[in-house]
Amino acid sequence: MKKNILVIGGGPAGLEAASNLRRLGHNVILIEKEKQLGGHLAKWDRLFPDGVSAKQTLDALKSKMVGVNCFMETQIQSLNVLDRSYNAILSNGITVLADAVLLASGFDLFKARKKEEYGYGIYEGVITNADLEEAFRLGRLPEKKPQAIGFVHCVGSRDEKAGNPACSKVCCATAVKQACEIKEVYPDADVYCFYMDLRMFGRHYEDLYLKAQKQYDIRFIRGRVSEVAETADGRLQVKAEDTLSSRPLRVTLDLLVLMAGMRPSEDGRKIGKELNLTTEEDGFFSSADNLLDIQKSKLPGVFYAGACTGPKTLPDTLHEARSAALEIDRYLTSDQRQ
Amino acid sequence: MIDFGFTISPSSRINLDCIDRKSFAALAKLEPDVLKCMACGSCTASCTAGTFVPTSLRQAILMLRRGQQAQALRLLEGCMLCGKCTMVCPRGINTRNLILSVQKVYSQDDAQKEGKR
Amino acid sequence: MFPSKGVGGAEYPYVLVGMIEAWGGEIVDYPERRHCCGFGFRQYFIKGNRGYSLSNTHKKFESMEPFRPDMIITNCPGCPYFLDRWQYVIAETQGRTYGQDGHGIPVFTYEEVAGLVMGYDPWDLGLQTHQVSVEPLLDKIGIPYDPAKKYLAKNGKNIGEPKKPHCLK
Repeated sequence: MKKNILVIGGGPAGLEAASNLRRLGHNVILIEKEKQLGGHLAKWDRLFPDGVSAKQTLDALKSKMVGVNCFMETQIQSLNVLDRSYNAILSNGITVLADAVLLASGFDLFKARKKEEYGYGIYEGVITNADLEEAFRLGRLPEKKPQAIGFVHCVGSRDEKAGNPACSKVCCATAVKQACEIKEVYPDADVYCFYMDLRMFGRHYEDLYLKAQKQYDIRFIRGRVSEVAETADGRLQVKAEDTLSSRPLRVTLDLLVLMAGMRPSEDGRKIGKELNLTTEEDGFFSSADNLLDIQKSKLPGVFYAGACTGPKTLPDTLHEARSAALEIDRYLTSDQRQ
Repeated sequence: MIDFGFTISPSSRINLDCIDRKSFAALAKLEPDVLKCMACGSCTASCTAGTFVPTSLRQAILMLRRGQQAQALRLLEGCMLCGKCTMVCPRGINTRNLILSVQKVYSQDDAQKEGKR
Repeated sequence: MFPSKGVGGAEYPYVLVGMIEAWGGEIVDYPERRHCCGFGFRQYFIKGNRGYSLSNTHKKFESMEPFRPDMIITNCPGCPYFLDRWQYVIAETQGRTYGQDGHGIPVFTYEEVAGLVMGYDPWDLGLQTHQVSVEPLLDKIGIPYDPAKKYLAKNGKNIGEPKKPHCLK
């Protein structure tokens, strides 16, 4: 008899794991709370470091989904542990008796509004990285040419006062990518990036940084932004520190982009509570072993893939999804399963 | 005007709106790799002259970007053009050419100002 | 980080703003709103440090001038004392005034404004001690006052008039 696997979350992790499990011969049911598949990937324009189209990447993932049962706008109403399986009641009334559950609930963006001093939600010229990416995707960029644009790294990350002392991994590369992209749209604008440390760890990331400096003349200022205020003519006065010259700094900008960090998904957390899944101090789920078994939770039959166990890049998410599919297959077909 | 015995202190804040970028743009034309500098400090760390007088190419580039030309030139005065910084620069910048270009572009500025007096 | 019991939160406190709105005023948010006015006992009382104190206030004025405010309201009397007197100093040493045509911007504590709104006579409140003349503002708001009684004490005696400054009207 075919085994049932419930995949919670239709983002890149859920999609890749579901399609792989289907190819291994299992019966896969995927539920997604939004109207469309793709998670955050569906809202992005281009991916770092090479500027590949996000839509094409998502289409490639979706094309493998033949044979997977997908339920859109569906959430978990209740989830119970049975003897050898999991009983899930979905919000659309359907009950699923799953032999294994894959939690791919992903992340939520840090609410930049909480950092009041940056004025998100108060001043028009202050937007987040998600807003900018959406603007690129839909072609909705400000008509009035901005003369100066700023990017603020680490908003809601590496910040105890914001409740998240951890680094969100991907925002530095995103900031540099978006800085280059916006300079392409407005070549005469001055673009500044206010950073603490530049985390360009992946393959081709350092090349992206070099390109940003040499080809696009993006100016990197090492220092935190302290406050943002509106001037009499509607521009933003930004105060920061220039740590390399040990002096405070002031610049007037037209657009300020805040790099909001990654936080654990609220909806994911609720599902975790149904199963009493433990989280670590940073709020993300705790795995059986962070090095060897990050896909396994502490419950047999419940697995993780993607950003629900911590900030990840897209390739990392896909790799985890594939290995989670392998682990689930091994779990379902082994004789040792109790 | 009355003199009360105290005046308004000048602000030590850098105002990026007020910096004239023309000279730096001229420098970037002569040596485009100046834009590649990531302020790592390898040049300053290996500087021969730096053991005797304050000499720092990293700081000089930063100062030029912040409009402090005179201080930047002073930091490069002691340079002996030995080339150790060029050997170590991780970004592959031709630092000797950069130092010579800095002095070419910015001393000209000073000379122009002298001429106008 | 975000005190749940604060009035408005740490970055945008609502205490004075709420008062201004209750009295029918319009709030001007200028970039240096949070900046210190410079009244810090050690800074001011020692002559050598006075320049530092003055520079802080000067920064605030330069920032608020493009918005053309009619008046400034503060919490404690220390700030208006400074924002008021330093306008005189800046006018006398540099010839720079921040209000309309040579006047300064009058500064009040919220107690003074409350008194005005409640209908007390400006001279009973002590507004004649302000360096920056408050008459233009009183005229604009429409508060009646008797200019002749400005420097008269409660019993009618003249308490003496200060000399007129050179630049500040």
